[in-house]
Amino acid sequence: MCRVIAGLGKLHLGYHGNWWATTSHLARASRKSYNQRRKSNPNTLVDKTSMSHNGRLRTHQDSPHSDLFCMVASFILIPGRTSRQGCGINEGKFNETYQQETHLLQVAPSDMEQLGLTAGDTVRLTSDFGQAEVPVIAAKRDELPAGLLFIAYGDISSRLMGGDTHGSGMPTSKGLDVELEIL
Amino acid sequence: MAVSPPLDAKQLDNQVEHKVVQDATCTFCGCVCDDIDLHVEGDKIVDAKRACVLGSSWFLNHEIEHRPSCHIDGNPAEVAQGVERAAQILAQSKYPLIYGLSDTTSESQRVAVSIADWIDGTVDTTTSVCHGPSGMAFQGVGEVTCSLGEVRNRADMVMFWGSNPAESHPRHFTKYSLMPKGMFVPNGRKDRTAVIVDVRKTKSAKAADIFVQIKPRSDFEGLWTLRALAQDIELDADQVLADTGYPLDKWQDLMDRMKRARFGVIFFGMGLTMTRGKHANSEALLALTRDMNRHTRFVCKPNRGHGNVTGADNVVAWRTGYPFGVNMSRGYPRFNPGEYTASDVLARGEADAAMIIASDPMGNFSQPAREHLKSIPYIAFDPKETPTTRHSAVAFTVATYGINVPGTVYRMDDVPIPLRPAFESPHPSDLELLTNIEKRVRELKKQQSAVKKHRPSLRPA
Repeated sequence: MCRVIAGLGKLHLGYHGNWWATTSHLARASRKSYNQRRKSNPNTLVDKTSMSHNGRLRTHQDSPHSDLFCMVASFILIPGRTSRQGCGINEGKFNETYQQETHLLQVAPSDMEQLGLTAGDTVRLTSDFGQAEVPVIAAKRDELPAGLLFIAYGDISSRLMGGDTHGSGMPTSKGLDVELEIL
Repeated sequence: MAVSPPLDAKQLDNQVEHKVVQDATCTFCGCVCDDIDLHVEGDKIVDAKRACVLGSSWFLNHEIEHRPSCHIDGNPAEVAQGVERAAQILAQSKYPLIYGLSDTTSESQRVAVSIADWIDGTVDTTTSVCHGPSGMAFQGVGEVTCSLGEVRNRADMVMFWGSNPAESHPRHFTKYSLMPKGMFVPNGRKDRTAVIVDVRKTKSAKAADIFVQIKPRSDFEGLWTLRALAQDIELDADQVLADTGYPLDKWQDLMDRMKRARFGVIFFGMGLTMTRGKHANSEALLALTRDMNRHTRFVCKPNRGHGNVTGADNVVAWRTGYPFGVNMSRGYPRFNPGEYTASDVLARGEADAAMIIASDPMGNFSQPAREHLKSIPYIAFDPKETPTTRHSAVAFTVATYGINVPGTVYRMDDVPIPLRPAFESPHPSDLELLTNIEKRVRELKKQQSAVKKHRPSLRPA
C-alpha cells in the first residue's frame, strides 16, 4: 500500500533538461512539502502523488479517488556485479551474504532525500515485465548519479527482466526502465 | 563409479595433512590467476597467498560439501542411479538443451558438446548472457586483440568501457593492466593513462586518470562519436552532449590522447553487451579499435567473467564451428543467437529437457525462462546447492574444478592454463559424470535407432 499524503492536487510538470537532472523546482517544492507532511503525520492517507523522476506526472486513473495520486517515480535500474555478491556466491547462494547483497537497492543520496527515503525503507520496483519489493540504501557518495538505481545481480534483477533477447540471446539486463513506489 | 560420500566429519579431522600447493590457479573470474600459493590442511584451504578478495573467498569457501553426491527428485540417491536417470531424460527428449559450462574444465566441456551431438540437442554456454553479443560482433567486425602479457608489457593507454574490474576482476589492475612495470612501460602506473567509461562512478573510476560519465544507454553514441573524431569528422557539440551526456571537447581530448598513445587497449564489459544496442555496441567498439590502428597500435579485449567461460567459447567453437547457441537437431551444427540461445529456448517454452552444468539459470535468467525450466525435467551439476539444483530432477554434487579436479581452463585472453588441485573430493567430477552419461546416452540412442529400423513403414513401397 502506498504511503500517501494530502493536498498536492493537479500538478503539471514538464521534462527539464538532462536525463540526470533532478526534478523541477515544482517537483522539489512538492517533494519538500510531501516530506514535511510525511514527517508530521506519516499515517495520513489522503492523496497519491505520481511524479516521475524526470518530471513527468502520472495519475492513477483506476484509483477510487480520482483526484488522488500515488508516489511513483521513474528510474533507470542498472544491475551489476559487486565483489560482495561474488563472495556470497562462494559462500553459498542461500547464505546471508548473497541474499543481503542481491536484495538491497542502492539509490543516489539526492534521490533518497527527495523521495523522503531512509535506509531500510522498502520500495516496490515495477518494470514492463515484473515486480519486486526491496529495501533501499543510499549509494556511497557520488557513485550513483540521480535518476539511476543499482542492484547486484540476483533474483530481484531477474524478476524485472523480460524474456525477449531481440535476436541476440541476451535479455536486456542493464538500463531497465522501472517505476519506484514507496511502500 | 563414486557413490555418496561418508559424512563422518570426525574421521576427516583425524587425517589432517598440511601442505602448500604452489602456483595454484584461481578459477573464479576470467583473470585465472595462476600464481596463488594455497596452504591446505586436510580437506580445507586455510590460506590463499596473493589471491584477491574474490579469489580468497573462492578458495576458502570450497570445502567438501557433506551431502550426497546425487539427488533424484530431491531425494538422496546413488550416483549410478542419477546417471541412468539423466541419460534417460536426455535420450527421450525431443528438444534437449545443454547449458552452462563456464565453471568447469575444458575436458568436461568437450564431452558435454559430444552429448549434445548424440541427442540432437542444443548446446549453449553462459557466454550467451555475458559476452554473447560480443561473439556476434567478432563475426561481423573481427577482433584486433592481444594477450594480457602484451598489455602488461606495452600498454600506455588503458581504457575500460562498461566494465568495473575493481569489483569483478580485482587483480586486473595490479597483475595485468595498470600497475605492473613492463618492458616498454618501466615505470608501471606512471607510464600509463587509465580511462574509465561508465554510467556510474564505480570503484574502478577512482583508479582512473580520466572518468567519462556517459548517459545510460548511450554507449553506441559515445563509441560512434569517437569513431567520427578518429577520422577528423566535424561534429555538432550540442548534439554530442545531448546524445552522450558528455561534452564534445572532452571527447576530443580523449581521442587526442588515444592517438598519441604508443599502445592502447580497451577492455569492455557487460555494460556494453547487456544494455540496449548489445551486439551493435560491441561492434562499434571493435570497429573503433580497428579504426585507431590507422593512428597507432590499439587492441581490445572483453573482460570475461567466469573462470572458464573463454574455454567454453573455444571448445564449442572447435567442436562445432560456432562459439555458443548451437543446435544439432538436423545432424549438423547451426548457429543462431536469439533462436538457439538458452534464454530464448527456455523463455519461449521450447526445450522439453535440459542439462545445466556449472551455472545457475534459476538464479539469474529472466522470469519466463525460469518458469519454463522449473516445469521440465533437467539435470544439474554444481559443487554447491543453488536455486537450479533445488528444482532439478537429478542434482549432482560435484568436485570443484581447480580445487579438487585437474584439467585445463582458458584465461580471458584465450591462453590455456593448467589447474593444480589442492585436495581430493569424495564427490565425482563433472568429467567423470559426463563421460558416464555420454556412454549411457549412446547405448540408449542405439536402442532407439534399432527400434526405428524395425518399425513398419507407413509409406508405400
